[in-house]
Amino acid sequence: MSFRNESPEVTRELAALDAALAGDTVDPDLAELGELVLAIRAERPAPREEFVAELDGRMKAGFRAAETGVRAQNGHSPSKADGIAGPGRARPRRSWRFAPSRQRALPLALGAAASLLIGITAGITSGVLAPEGGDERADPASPGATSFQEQARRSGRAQGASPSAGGGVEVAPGGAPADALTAPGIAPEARERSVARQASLTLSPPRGRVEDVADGVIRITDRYRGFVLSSTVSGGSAGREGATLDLRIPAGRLQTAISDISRLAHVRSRTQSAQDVTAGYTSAQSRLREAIAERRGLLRQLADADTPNETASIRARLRLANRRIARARTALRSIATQVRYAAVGVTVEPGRAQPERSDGWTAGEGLDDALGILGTSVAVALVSLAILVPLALVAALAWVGGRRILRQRRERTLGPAVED
Amino acid sequence: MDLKLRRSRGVNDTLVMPLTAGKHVARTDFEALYRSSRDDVYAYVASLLRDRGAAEDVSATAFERAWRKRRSFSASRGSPRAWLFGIARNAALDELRRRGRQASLSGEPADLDVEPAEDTADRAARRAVVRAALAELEPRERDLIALKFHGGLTNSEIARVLGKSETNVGTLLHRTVTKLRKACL
Repeated sequence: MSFRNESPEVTRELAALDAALAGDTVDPDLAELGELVLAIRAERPAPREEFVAELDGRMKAGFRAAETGVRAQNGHSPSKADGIAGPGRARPRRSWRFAPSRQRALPLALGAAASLLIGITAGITSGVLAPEGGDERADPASPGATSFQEQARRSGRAQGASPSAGGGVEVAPGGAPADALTAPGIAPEARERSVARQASLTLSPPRGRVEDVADGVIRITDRYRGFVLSSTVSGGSAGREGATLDLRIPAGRLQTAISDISRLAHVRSRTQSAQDVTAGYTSAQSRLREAIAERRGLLRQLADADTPNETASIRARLRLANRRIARARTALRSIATQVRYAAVGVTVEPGRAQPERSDGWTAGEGLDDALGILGTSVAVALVSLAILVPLALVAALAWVGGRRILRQRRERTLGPAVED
Repeated sequence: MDLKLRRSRGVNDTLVMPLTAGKHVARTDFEALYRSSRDDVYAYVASLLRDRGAAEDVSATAFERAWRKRRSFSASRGSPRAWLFGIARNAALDELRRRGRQASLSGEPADLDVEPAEDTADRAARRAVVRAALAELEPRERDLIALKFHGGLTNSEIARVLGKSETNVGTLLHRTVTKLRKACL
């Protein structure tokens, strides 16, 4: 025992104090200190024998047995304290403090945390794995298909629009909406351009429904004042079912017609294209104009013809002019028809893969799902840690602070601290 | 009168091994600690509370708490006796807080003081002087005296219990004993 005190005298007296407590002799000049030590030691309270026996019994029992308390033996009613009896105990000891030990509570806590983690993961992944809606899914090979359908829904104003021979439904190559043509504010020169549109769809209904789908296509065509240029429907044994329809639909109603046709069955593919035929239209117009002017001139010449030979020559030239007029009008009519009516090809092929209606679950799909769940679990665990770690730090700080406050309150019970 | 003046020195040595390493070993160590410290703990608590009944309750509470915390004991916290007396001190202070009074201990001790029949008049007078001197101590000084003289702790153990340095404890102890010496003159 060492006393690193300031003065040797203090050290010596403290050593004498310990010696007196141990029963050893002290220096004669410190005999009075030794006697004081013994006198203070003599004031040491001793426990009652009954209390000692009671406490020894509880020690042997591991402090587990329900106690009535020592004071109960003295006639005092036991309190609800955990084995400690005595009047004036302000509050009973909480049983939960001596409830299942930390070793037993830890598995419960871990199990609860794991259940919570599984529940969160299942909730998230169920949303990830859920099929996406019930609408037909556009084939990825036709990127413009979805936008085409959206555009078809918006082009309600296209109904009733009938393109004239001089103008047309203008659609940019690649499938721009028809709104640009009928919408106000479009420059006059843009409206005068002639564009021929084409579209093709491949529908994939369940087997046995090819004819129904084909009939539906024809009904939609009629509804929109179009016509079926040609159609082929074949039924019968598996593998030979199918239908091919060549439609002409007014260009102004093309979008809504395509949209309605798309709802008949799963759309496996959908394409759209447009071709500016203004040059050809203008050329045909010019040829017609020239041929008509030529014929007019020939007719004047014929009226002035004097000889049979001259008349025959003019008539021959008139016949050529008429042929040119006919050809020009035919070309013009054809181009006007192309502009006025969009060509729509619909192919119906049953029994192809329909992902959203498949009942099978392949190993690859299972692996993808498993990886997705694993990734989601890891993400949930990381997010949980990001939440729990700060909370744990706050709880730890609060625990430390609480213990410090409790210690200060206990020390205040003894009054102000003695100055050193 | 056979006063128990000599404190068992060998007990602390046997308790060097911390209260760890297996349930059976921990229980054995704790029982040894209990046997060696039972009366000391009671004496300290009784000196602090000045109430035999409360001292018995608090002592039992202290041993019960220590029993339940025995697996969490760490040698870094000091000796087992210091650890036990820390628990006892907290239990006693909690009792004082519940009673809503400070451990002034200014009044005469209630039922703790029993005059031995064989005491002479001189010894009885001497004891009365010492009690009066003890009664004039500040609560913290009396706590220190109780730990040292009635609990039988070493200065290092007291330092661990009070959360002070050993040098500081020695200084405070010397100052308190000097005060008592002057009061008993």
